[in-house]
Order: sequence, then C-alpha cells, then structure tokens
Amino acid sequence: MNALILVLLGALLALFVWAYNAVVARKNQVENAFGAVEAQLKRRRDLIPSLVEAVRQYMAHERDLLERLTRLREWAERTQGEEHLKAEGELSRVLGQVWARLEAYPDLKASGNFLQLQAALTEIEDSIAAARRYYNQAVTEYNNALEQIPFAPIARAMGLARKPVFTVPEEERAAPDLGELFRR
Amino acid sequence: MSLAELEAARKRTLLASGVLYSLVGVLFLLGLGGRGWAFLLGAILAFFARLLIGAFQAEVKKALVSPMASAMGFRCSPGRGFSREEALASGLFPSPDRYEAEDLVEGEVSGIPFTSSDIALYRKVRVKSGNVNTYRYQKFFGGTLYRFHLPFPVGGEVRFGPRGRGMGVVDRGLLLIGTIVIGGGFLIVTLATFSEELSVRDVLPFYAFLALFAFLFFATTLGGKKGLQRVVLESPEFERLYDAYGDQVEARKVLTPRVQEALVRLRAYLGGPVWGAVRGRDLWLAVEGRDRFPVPVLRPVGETLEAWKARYREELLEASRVVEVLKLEEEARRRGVL
Repeated sequence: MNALILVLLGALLALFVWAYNAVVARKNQVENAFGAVEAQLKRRRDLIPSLVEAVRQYMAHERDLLERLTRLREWAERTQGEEHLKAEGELSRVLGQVWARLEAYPDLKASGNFLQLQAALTEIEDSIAAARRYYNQAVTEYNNALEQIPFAPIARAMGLARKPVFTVPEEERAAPDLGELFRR
Repeated sequence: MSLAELEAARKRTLLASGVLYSLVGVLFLLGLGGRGWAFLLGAILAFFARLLIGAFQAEVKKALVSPMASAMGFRCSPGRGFSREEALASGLFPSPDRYEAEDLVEGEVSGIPFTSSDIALYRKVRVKSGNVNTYRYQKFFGGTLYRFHLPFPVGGEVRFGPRGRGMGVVDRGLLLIGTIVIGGGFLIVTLATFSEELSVRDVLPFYAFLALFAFLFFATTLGGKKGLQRVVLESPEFERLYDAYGDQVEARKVLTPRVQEALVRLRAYLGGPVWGAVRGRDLWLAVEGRDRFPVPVLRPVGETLEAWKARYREELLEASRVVEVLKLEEEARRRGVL
C-alpha cells in the first residue's frame, strides 16, 4: 500500500515538473522567437543608412521620403515595446514606398552598389517574414498552454498573460499584381 | 528484343507458370490428404514458377527501361545507381552494412535537372539457431532516391520526414526491439514493486538506469543531426504528414506555405512515406517501397510500357512541382513580391 502511495505521489510530482517545464519552455520559446525577429529587424535598420546614401543622388526629388525613412529608423532604434513595434511597422511601410518609387529611376537599377544593397534587403525581408512566422507559431503554442490543463494553473501562478501575434497591416493585405511584377 | 518477342515470352511464361501453379494446387490438396511429400514437391514447383516469372520480369526491365527513358528524353543506366557516398551525402540514411543501387535515370523535367536511382540499404543481423550463429542482411530501406538540382543555393539545412519517424530513414527493426526491451523493463520493475518483491528504494536505481538507457537509445536512433531543431509549421495537413527539422528561421524560408502544400500533394500522390533534405543546391527526396517499373505477367507488355511512361512522368512532375514552387518563391522574392 505504501509503495502504491509513493508511486502515485511520484507520478504526480513528475506531472507537475513536466507541466512546469513545458510552460517555462514555451515562455522561453516566445522570447527566443521575438529575439529572432528583433535580430532581423536590427539587420534591416543597419542597412538603411547605406541605402539612403546609395539612392540620395539619384532620387533628389524624394528627399522628404528618404528623410522620413531616416527619422523612422532613429525612432525605432530609440523606442521599445509597443511603440517600437509601431515604429518598425511604419518603417516597413515607408521602405515599401521607396521600393515602389525606384521604378522611376532606371539609372539607379544599373548601379552595382545599389543592386547589392537591394539583394541584401530582400534577403532580410525574407528572414523577417520567416522569423515572424516562427514568433506567431511560438505565441500560438504559448497561448494554447495558458488555457490548457495541466498548464493553465501553473501559468496563472507564474503570472503569465496572453501575448499578441504579428498581424499584417491593412495596407499590406491587398494582393500584389503578380502579372505586372513579372512583366518587369 | 522487340515488343512482339517480349509479348511472346510473356505468354510462354504465363502458360508455364500457370501449369506449375495448378500442379502446386493439386499437390497441396494431396498434402492435406496425408501425403507429406506433396507439400515439399509443391513448394519446389512454386519456387520454380516464381523463378520463371522473376526471370521474365528482369528481361522486360532490361529490354524496356533504358529505351523508354531515352524516348522520354532521359538517360538511363540500369546497371548503375547512386554511389553509397552520394546516397549518404543526402543525410537521410544511417550508414548501412550493405548497399545496393540500380536504374540510374538522369535528365531534366520542367527545366529542372534531376538524377534518380532505386536503392536498398541493409543492416547485418545475427540469427541464433540452437548453438549456431548465422548472419543475414535485413533491408531497412528500399525505394527511390531523387536528387533535384535547385537553381539557387539554400542557406543551412532543412529536413523533413514522415510524422514520428525521425529526421531521416530509421532502422525500424532496431527501433522496435529497443522499444520492447525498454517498455518491458519498466513494466517488470513496476510489477515487482507492486507485488512488494522490491522495495521503492531498490527500484529507483533500475528506473534511473532504464531512463538513461532509453534516452541514449532514442537519441542515437531518432536523434539525427545535431543543431537541427524540430520546426512546427502552420499547415495542419503538413504537420499531420511530416516532421520538419532545421534552423527555426532558415527552415521557414524554405518551407513556405506553398512549399508545404506541394509536399502534402506529393505525399498524397505517392501514397507512401517520403523523406526530404534541402542542402546547398540540392533537394533530395527518398520515397520508400516503390518499384518504379513493375511487370505484371497478366498484363500485355505494350500496356505495361504505356503504364510505366504515364506513371513515371507523373511521378517526376509531382516531385518537380516542389522544386518549381521553390523556384517561383525565389523569383518572387527577387522581384520583391514577397
């Protein structure tokens, strides 16, 4: 009888340890995924001064846009949390506008330096998208754990709260004109 | 050998094997009637019938596979296959004790260069009969290995395989034996504790040893390559069929929702387990348990050839669609669509 009680207590303890470790692992995974997104965003911010420098002489008429890009980069560097995410979102939007305007400057597209920068930024944007998917996956697992048994009571005791996933801004949801892009 | 000659050979084989199998049936009935020798004679005749069919199938393959591949614009070398080093370079297989490869096909499908070969990997196992130990080779993977040449390099390494079957092809026989030993060990120790033959204090070292053994065993058989993490992706269909491994960000750059969809379709088409690896400029696909060129004796040789052509082209197209999606995504990225 004693052995039975001991085995049951051992099983309960093992269940608690497993559930606690699972909650901690999911919390850390979210932090790790956020770090991965942040690392890619930092790479992009680091490239912006070189981009502005490379296009400035060609895009003299877009000075306002380039200055806005520089200011947004500084804002994103300075801020944290919600405000930082907002700054990064705005930075993405303005970068998109810069890419769209580039079509009007064929000389720029012939510059080797610019083409290298463009390739690097495209690769970074790709990595940002992948890192965001990783973050969203990690947050979904974490949020599920907060509502599932046996994790929920442990998460509540640890004071953990739901986290938001990355969503695509309204203006980016419109489907791109693939035909037009592939005719370029 | 012409199609007409092969068709005549098929009819002869069908007649001879039909006669032999009828005799086997009669001998089986005699055996049931108490004549033991009839079973032995029936088994010998069945063996000869199988031999006849096997020889015919080999002859058809030898005569038709190479011309068919050439007619489809591919190069075929029936006697050659991926070398052992090439197959192991895919990272999908553990080192085997014996390796066989044949039917090397090279070519291009939808502008994508590929090489494929039928391969078989064996593990040497000991069979104990009384006091005598004998060794035999047990197949743990038999199927087709494809290598597609990607038009762009991929950073890092990404792997995917059937759900719950590890990072690459696993020796399932070894896995089953290990699971039985470990599970049995836990069960015996637990039952001994309940029947009070062992005290809890006595039992703890056993549990610790079994846990350590289980960890080491599963880590070595299923663990695969260090540095590749399990990557959970968003498509429920993909997750139901595959486990993906790699760097969390790099793997997602390759396994986009569209690539996941293409892999789900490939798995549905093939119907069998598929393992894959993307490394550098190569996409490797290992498809288990498929004879690419089956020769049914009951079907006319001309029809068999047409079925081969249709199936082979479709299989290659399905597999190359994965590469096409990868190519399309890369092009879209380059042009700034994504």
